[in-house]
Amino acid sequence: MPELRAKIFAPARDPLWSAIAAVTVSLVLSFLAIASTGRDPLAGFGYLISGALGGPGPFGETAIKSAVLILTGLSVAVAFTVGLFNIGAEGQLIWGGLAAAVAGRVCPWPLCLCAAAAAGAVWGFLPGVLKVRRGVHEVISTILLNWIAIHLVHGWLVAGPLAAGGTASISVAGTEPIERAAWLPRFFSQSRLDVGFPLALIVAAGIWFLLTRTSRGFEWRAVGAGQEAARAAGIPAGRRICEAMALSGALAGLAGGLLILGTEHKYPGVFRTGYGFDGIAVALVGGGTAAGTALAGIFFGAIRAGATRLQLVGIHPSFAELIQGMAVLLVAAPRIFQPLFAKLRPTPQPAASTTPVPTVQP
Amino acid sequence: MNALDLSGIVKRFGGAAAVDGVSFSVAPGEVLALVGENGAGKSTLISVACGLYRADAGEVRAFGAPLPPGDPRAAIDAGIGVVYQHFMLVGPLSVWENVVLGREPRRSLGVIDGERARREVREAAERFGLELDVGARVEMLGVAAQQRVEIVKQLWRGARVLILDEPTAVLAPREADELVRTVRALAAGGRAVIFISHKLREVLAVADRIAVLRRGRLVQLTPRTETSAGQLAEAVMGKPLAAAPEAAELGLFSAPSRQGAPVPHPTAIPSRGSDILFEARDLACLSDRGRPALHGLSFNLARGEILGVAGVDGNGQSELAEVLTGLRPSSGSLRLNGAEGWARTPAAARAAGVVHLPEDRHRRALCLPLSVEENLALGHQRAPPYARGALIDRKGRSAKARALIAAFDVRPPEPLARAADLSGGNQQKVVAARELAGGPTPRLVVAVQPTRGLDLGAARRVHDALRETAAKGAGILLISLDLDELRFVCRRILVLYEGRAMGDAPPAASDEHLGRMMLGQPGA
Amino acid sequence: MNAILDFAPPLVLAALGGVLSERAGVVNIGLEGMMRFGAFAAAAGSIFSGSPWVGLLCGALAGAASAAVHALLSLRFRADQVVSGIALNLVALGLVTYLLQSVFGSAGVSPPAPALPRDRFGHTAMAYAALLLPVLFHLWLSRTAVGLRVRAVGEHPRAAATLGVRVLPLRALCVMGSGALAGLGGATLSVGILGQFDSRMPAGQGFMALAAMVFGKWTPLGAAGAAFFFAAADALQRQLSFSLHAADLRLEGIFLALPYFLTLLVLAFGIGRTRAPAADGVPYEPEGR
Repeated sequence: MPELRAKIFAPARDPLWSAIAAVTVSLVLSFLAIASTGRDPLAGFGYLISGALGGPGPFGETAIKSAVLILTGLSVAVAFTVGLFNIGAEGQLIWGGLAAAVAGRVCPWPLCLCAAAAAGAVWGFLPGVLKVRRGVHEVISTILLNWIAIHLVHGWLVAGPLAAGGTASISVAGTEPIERAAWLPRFFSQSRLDVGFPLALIVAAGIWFLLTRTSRGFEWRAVGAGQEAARAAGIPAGRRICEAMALSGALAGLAGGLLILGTEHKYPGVFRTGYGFDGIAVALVGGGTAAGTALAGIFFGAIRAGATRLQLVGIHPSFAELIQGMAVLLVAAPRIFQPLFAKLRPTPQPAASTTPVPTVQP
Repeated sequence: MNALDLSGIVKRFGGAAAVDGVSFSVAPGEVLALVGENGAGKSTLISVACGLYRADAGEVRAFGAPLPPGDPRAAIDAGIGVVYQHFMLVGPLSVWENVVLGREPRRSLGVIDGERARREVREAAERFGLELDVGARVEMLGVAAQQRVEIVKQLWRGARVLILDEPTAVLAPREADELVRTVRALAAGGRAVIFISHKLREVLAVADRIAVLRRGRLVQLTPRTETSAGQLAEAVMGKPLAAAPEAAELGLFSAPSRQGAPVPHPTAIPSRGSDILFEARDLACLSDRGRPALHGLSFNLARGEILGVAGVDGNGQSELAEVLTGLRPSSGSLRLNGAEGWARTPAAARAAGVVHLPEDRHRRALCLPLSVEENLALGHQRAPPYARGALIDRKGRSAKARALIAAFDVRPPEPLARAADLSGGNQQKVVAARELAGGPTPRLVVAVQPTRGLDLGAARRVHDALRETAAKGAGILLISLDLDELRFVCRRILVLYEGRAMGDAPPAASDEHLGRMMLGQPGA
Repeated sequence: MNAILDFAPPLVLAALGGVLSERAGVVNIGLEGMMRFGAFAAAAGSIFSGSPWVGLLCGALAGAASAAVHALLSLRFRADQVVSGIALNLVALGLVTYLLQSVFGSAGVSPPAPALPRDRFGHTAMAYAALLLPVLFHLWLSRTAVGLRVRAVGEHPRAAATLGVRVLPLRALCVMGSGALAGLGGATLSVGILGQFDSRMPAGQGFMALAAMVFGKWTPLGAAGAAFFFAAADALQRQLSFSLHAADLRLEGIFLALPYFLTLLVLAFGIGRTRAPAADGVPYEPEGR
């Protein structure tokens, strides 16, 4: 899929504005949705905000969820830079979580995070190499790999060989708990805020530096912007794709590690987070850039944290997914807003891009 | 009554008018030729005529009745059929399915009457003497056969106005002659034909009247008998020939070259064999479809020589360029400066000093979403001044980009503009700047159709840059489908046929001579 | 065998939906979401009308309606088709749970819905539909005029357009038909198999249908065959977990992962041509140049 980024984001001309417009419209729509079912939308939004930002406790929840979303979002965004659509962050996250849970039995947390990243990297590398060597479309292969990971980990490893107690009884309790030294350190007693959030921000800054300031990052972007042109320029496109996909997987694996080491403290029997799919939303709303992804991650983390309090007005927390989904629907189709932008800022397009370019299409 | 009337057609893209108030008519039994440079609006105009585009102003009438704008079906029903330059054929479908698509003979329940369809298609082809295997899958056919499918497609639909868009661009000279005969026969049978081309010689052979488009406007419409190649060329260019020596470069003014070679070529042919830079022996490779594309190709190239490669499209030229730039594996011997093994990967070829102006610059040369500056760094991205260690040298890169933009007159002179927003000519200037001047002096330049789609100024700039690079001692391989471009720039022309060298010829060789070689007869 | 005919219909229908959309050139990652809308609408329709047939109709309509959003975004607004499909899945996840809670007061399951009747072999009508539809679909695609146009539009839309085929409306219809099939598949889950809606539905069946479509090389018969094969693997695994000791349940995951693994293998090392329609996922611009 050459020029994937361009295809997705270019029509917007201005990803920031279309993201803001999309998020605003989706918030308005969800406000109306709450009102339409006879509930008090103001109270609902009040709970949403207080659940996200009202004090150290909620703030810690927001931070935890944001950290994971930033990482899975970066995972998808890094894959975008080489022109691949990584729908497999969920599977990579699962392997990362499992690796962290296993390593957590014997190692301190930094090593556990390395293990998580490595496991995710392997699961991210696979679709990369399948694409490069066998031409398997990554959208299909990552979907398949997600389900392979889900079934192998949940249906077999965690239920069987790695189950706590090792008894023959059907265990839904997950793996043995990890050692105390493997727990992510927390900063405050009354909040679950741990090192995950600052770590995610540091990683985001690192990704920004990698993509915009290093030659390697430039080569990745060149491969994503025009694979054939990059190849003809001597860049080994296949290798760059595999590298970026491994990094993409590592980021998602790291997110899984944060979840296990920070909050679960073991690999639970049921661990269907959906964070991997949310990462797609975060990366898309974030315009595929590191900074945008970090901002979008924090925003959706706050929505997710706040949504748990929506239950107080009788709304299921999955309402957060609705807001997120609508935002993506709107970001996905930036042309919806184009007439609006055209009115706001009537900037004449450069003549060169509109005059017919008499070149021969393949 | 006229078969087709266009009156006051205007079509804009964004702000710019691609077609600006064009009116003309074609009568049944008449062949009208439409000529003009690339980008003059020929293709846009026919897209309006056949309902594919909706005109911003003006009216299309077929046999007196106005056509609803933007409705291809109505145009088809009115008897307008177009054979596009890029064939509109669905590869995996069979010939007959392609012909009847959209107008399928049916039995009950919407089921296609395949037997009837096959029979009718076969009959339509036979009636006009066009040879076709109606059951074959279209993607398995050669170019000329695919063009026959396109023509039969329109005739089976009862097209009474046939529009042919650059129909000879993909054909060998002999096949083109065949097509001209077919077109005359169709006109004799009462059909109106619009024949689009930029080859004036062909146009003078086939047309009754000739319309000239320039920058979206109709600048001249004359009977063939009242014009000449020279006069037409002036109309196409918009200035007297004396003021436009580039005319020959674009193949507009090619008629005189039939007799000999009045086209100027800059300097004397250097003695071959002296100071050999590059040598290919028994080169062979496969095409994308796994068929032999080159077999047993041998030639050499001297330092400072510009060697032209001529041939009908698809005789191994693209593959040759890819082999030399490391993009396609090959067997045989390739020596550059006496060394072998430099063409295994694009990176190795680059390191050996091979640069590439590819045929498909959108796909092969440019990362369109990236900036001009980034595109200028592509391929040199790890070397100073573009980088320092593993990091991008932002100042050095920007300074170098500005210097290249100035030297090659890229417009707008804005390093941060997206490459996609540049015109085709300026995009090619970016590619030429990067390849020829962006890094160390190249040893071997592989340029494929480097001026296709460019205006005269940009084409001249590219040719000058190639000459300058040759003057510095590089060998240049210029692959082009345009004989006149080759004649103008090269000192020697190598003719490829089915992946082999048919021999070489001086630029002064006649069209007939080169044409015979392009069809597989060894040169004298 | 009975179990296969029970499990297969949702997969078969959704896989056919995938084939319909992608053969017309529109990637449909949103099958999962469309099935979810269909499953919920069918349960709701069945509960409120008292007739499972009305439920089925509601399911198909809901699937088609959600597919219309996909068509609108990806065809009218040229959104990336993968993104649009994913967004649809996300919306389905949140919106259906929200509706479930709003309408039935529980975010877990709906009240029992009137289920489709079973014949004396224990099959619902959907089992026979799953056997018959692939053949009809195959004949339609390969023999009829509209089928020819769908294939052309998925391979080379501009060529079809020059012959007067209206590309975008045809694609939109195919996407909506795809949604109707997926919705029907979802409806089979709720009013056909379980007799109620469960908020976890369709639990990845939409993605499995996508895998079946790829496994079946984008052909109706192939996709249906793959769907039956996947359903058989599923049934076999359940059979085993009933008949063997509980300890063997630990291997359940390997069985469940098998269809996906095989699909991946076929894609990577497959025999014969596994090629998506040439214009699959490529937006069509009527005045593109």
